[in-house]
Amino acid sequence: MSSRKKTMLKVIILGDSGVGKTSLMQQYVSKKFSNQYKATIGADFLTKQDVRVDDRTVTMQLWDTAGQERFQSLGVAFYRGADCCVLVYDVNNAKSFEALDSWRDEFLIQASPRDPESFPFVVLGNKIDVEESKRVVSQKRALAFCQAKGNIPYFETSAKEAINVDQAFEVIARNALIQEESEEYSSDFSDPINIHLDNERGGCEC
Amino acid sequence: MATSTASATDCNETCDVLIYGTGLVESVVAAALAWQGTNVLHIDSNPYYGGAWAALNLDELKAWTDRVNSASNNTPFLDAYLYISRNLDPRKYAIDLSPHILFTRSDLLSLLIKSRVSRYLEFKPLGSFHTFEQDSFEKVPGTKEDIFTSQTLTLLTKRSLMRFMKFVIDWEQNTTVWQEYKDEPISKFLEEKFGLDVPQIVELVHSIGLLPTPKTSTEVALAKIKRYLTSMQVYGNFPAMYSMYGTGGELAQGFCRSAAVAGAVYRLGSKLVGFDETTGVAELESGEKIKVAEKIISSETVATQDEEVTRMVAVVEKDCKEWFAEGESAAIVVFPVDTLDGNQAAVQVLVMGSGSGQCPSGQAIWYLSIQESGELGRKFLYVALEKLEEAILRESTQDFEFAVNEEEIAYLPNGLPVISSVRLGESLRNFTPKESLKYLLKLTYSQKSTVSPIEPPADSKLIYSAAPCFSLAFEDIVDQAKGLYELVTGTTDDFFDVDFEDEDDDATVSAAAQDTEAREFSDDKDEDVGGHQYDFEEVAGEMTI
Repeated sequence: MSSRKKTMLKVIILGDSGVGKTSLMQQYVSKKFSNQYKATIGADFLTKQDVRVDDRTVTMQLWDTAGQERFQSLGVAFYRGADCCVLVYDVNNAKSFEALDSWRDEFLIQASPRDPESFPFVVLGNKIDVEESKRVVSQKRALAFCQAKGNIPYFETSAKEAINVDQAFEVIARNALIQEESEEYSSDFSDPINIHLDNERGGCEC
Repeated sequence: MATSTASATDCNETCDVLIYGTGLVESVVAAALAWQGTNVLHIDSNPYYGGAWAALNLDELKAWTDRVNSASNNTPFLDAYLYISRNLDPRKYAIDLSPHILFTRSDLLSLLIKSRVSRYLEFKPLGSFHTFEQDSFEKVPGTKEDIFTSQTLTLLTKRSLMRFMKFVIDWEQNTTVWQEYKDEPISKFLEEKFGLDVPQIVELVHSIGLLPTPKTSTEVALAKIKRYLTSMQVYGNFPAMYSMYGTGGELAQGFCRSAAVAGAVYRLGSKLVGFDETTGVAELESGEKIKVAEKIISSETVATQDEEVTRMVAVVEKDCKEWFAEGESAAIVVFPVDTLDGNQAAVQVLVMGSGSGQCPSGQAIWYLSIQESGELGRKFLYVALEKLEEAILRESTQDFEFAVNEEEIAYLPNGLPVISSVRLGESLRNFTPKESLKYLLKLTYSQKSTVSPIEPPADSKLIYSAAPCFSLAFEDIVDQAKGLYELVTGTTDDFFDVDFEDEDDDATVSAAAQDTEAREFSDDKDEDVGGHQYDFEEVAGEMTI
């Protein structure tokens, strides 16, 4: 296993402003990591190392929209090289659910994956901790959407109370890995330059 | 949002600084200001990032062509002619409007590392610099080992070149050597002071210095030649690199993301239609009004008449790997002055293979440019294109063999055999390719240098940024950004003075890189040649036999 090249998976998280994208990332990443990401600077991307997927160990890089989604100004570079796209909505906000389809389209246009039909998406209905009476998007409605879009895996989550977050990201990691491996064989790109002359931030290689 | 004391009665939004245009310089300024704490609103009239620096897909390129040729053209470009063959997937291409390469020792790369914007980008090496000579492409000897092991240079030439390389690393200090040539052409200096011959002068000026003409002043040229030499061996056996999927446009997007992380607000597809200097209210095409507390930085400039670069982009159905170094996917080919029916400026060609992410595999993009205007510029570009076409067909045809006769082999004073390049040139001239080259896309256009549409008064809220530079390498980006930053904040002391907490070792790296500059080449220690020491010694042994 050690002879195998380290696998880095890029996961991007899309959805309307305020649905909890950053919170979901932080709940997933910081829970298992004692040296937490310092949130003094804005949300950029979070790295989760040593993620087990079956017999493999991978590193996940979770990319936040950094607020650029507010005026649909993410730019093509953000989408590039993504191995999985997570679509998030707020179960208490109908508009955020209705926007999922256009976020999915936007991803497929901008990222232009080799095979759009098989590209892995995962849908998360967030903020299920909020009282039931406020909920406006039913599970049935969400599942129907996911089914219509090619059986997208669906999870109902609470970033606040850590409900279903790990389970969702386990599926995200697995599907991202499958995608990454399918791309690897078709790519003729040589590895890019590591422009950091020093050893990068002392990651433990043992 | 910033608290504004002015009566922002019908304003939809407020900001400290409004930046119009997401070109590279504006994007660097946006990030610098955002990290300093300024409330930045950054907008662009296009639906994509990068402005005149952008790399466009084919749909965007068609729209761009229409805009450039329209009466309402507000770009530094003009006279665009575009041909696209059928059935190309528009999204598989990234056509760079102003392609630029990044030297490995440059203030821009240091800033990319320090700002951590480099983490958003993928860089590829560029080590192949060719000079077009006698109908063939000569690989430029860019290191001392190259010179030492070269089989075509005489010992005398080698010695002169070594002497020059040793000098140029510390040229700023050795003023006595070049002072009297300061404003004289570099060619004159190289010939008179170092006794270099024309082929070496041509390579130093055009390929290593990437200068348009050997008439360039000695002072300017020496800095450019040094840039190449100090950039060798920083990351490997190449002096330059480029970001994948597009050059300046990708860097611009990286800086914009960094700005967004620091709190800047982004709006693509937003056209600025008016600005009231007295009230500080800017108006967007959508009708929205924005109260700007401090400054507007605008990239909307007008073209000047005097300077112009003519560009051509050709997508060819050949991978062009014959021109790339091992493991690389790009090359530079320079046609020196007077090699294309009287060209007074060099034609520079940046060849990008599919490994650059700019085109599908089995294809390559040729970016040609010349600092010569309109029709004349285009004429030279077409002659260069023809030469490139001949060369790639010749070199990629497998059943073509060089029939080398004994009399075509010359022997150097040191006894090493070498095929006469003149003879080689002749035999190649007689070669007729069996196939023709397929062009999938051709684009020609001109780019003007720009000036501010009006000269704003010193205390004006409105300031202008400049269009992309003509040079093939990024030049003055950081300085331009610092200049704009200073106009806003009054100082450059805190330009990207950001503590990135636990990852501040990145900053240390770039600082160290600056420190060691100039030292690398100046002393003749073994570390100098790094991993190539073995090759060096081995050949040295051969030479003494």
